[in-house]
Amino acid sequence: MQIVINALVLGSVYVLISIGLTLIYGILRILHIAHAGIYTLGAFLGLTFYALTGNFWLALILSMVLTGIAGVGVYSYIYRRVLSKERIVPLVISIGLFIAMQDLYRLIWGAYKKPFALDLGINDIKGKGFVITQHQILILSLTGISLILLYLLMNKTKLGKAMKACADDLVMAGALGINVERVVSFAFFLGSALAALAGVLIGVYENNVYPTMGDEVSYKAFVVIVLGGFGSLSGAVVAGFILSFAETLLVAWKGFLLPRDAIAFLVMILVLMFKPEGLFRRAST
Amino acid sequence: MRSVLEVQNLNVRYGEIHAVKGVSLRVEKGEIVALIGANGAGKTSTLSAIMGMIRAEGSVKFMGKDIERFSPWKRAQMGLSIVPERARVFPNMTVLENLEVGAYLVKDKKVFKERLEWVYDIFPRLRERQKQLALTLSGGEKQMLAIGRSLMNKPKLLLIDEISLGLMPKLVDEIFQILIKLNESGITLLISEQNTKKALEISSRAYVLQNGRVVKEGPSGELKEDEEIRKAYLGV
Repeated sequence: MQIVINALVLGSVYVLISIGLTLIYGILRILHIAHAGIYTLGAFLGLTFYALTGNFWLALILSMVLTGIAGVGVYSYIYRRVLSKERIVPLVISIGLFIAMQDLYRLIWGAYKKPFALDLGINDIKGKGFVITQHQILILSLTGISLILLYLLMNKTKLGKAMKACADDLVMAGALGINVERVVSFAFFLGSALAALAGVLIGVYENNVYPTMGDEVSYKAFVVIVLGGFGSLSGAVVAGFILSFAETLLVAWKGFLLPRDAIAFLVMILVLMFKPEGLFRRAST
Repeated sequence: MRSVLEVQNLNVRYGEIHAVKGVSLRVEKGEIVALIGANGAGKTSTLSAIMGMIRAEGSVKFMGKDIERFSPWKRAQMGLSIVPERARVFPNMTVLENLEVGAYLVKDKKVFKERLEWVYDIFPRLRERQKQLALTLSGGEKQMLAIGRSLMNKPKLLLIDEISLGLMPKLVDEIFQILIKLNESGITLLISEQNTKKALEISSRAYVLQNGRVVKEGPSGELKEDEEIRKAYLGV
């Protein structure tokens, strides 16, 4: 039971980060590596605003909004200018951007781990043989709310349907009257805000925030979008949890030699070998 | 009288390839105009450029306004729409969702309902399959959906690219009948077709494209009798 809870918590964070990557890959076919830098930015901004205001919820919202805007900036000042180039160009730019972001954070916030101590005043839930800590409750509930809102957005609103159409065929969506520029900007805003949420939650959960915290995330999120079938949102959600369960269960299984990060890649390599289109295929035009 | 569409000296380049070389054409209100020519003559590039889906040089006037610098969505707002080659329906969305996206610019719910009924009356098949993902449709159904989707915004000028491609002859007849009806209901049409015979039957005027240039133009009735065209495109 404890293992299941831990896996759910871990999976929640994977999913929150992967949503942005999936939206962006789905629409622009760009592997947005710098998304992990956006996630780190969210964690730092959350911590900074929490230190300034002492109000966690205010800090969280400010961080999500500002990080969202930073994401839109990455699109409109960088990616938008190289969209007509071969895909390797935005990929290389993205890697460079990620490294530059980490150095920038080091300059601003210092190289060391900063604690993110938060007491929400909620009691831990204790059951037979398991505990759900207040931070786990926070992560599970915020992820749940985010996923429900995301589902409603994508399936019940005009904007959500426009996003789906853009992911299927960007040029065609434009020809039908959808302002594609605005939709793509919104996808970057939404994805980056959710990455900020993930960053803050992980910062609180592990009680530290540091410039290179995006490293692990950068490749994990890839595993999730590969497993999820490159651009499928529901695929990414399921894949995030599959990965977290695989990792948590195998690590808990005594005698398993590989560390948890290696497991993620092992899973990805196996999937790519036997099912190169990912577990959940989307049709392409 | 002002033309619905006036294209002058249109050029499209893909890297080294010069696909459309100075094409000029016009479409008057209420007409069906056909672009005919072989595969690779530049028909699709011409229509895509008019819609703004690809980069082009030259002048494009729609309803008297210069639109060559406008984004595709701005052109759609003005009443231009396209049924692209191979339909390009949104495969991971349902039939209904495809139609909803087509009605993206329609703000009024009542108008949306009316349009949806109108499209479903034209293509009852789409009503039956409205909950199905578009990728599960047959080639003909995809074309119907692409037409329906473009109609949701009630265009003034509809560009139709190679609608007959890969369809059974019976279905081609059916769809051409529908195009004639749409035209009678007030939608001006510019169609590109490899099926020269059909295209000349339903259009009032036509342009013949060859290697990116207009090599002939005139009333379809005359072109049908033209010796060269009969040899080259009608197989007579």
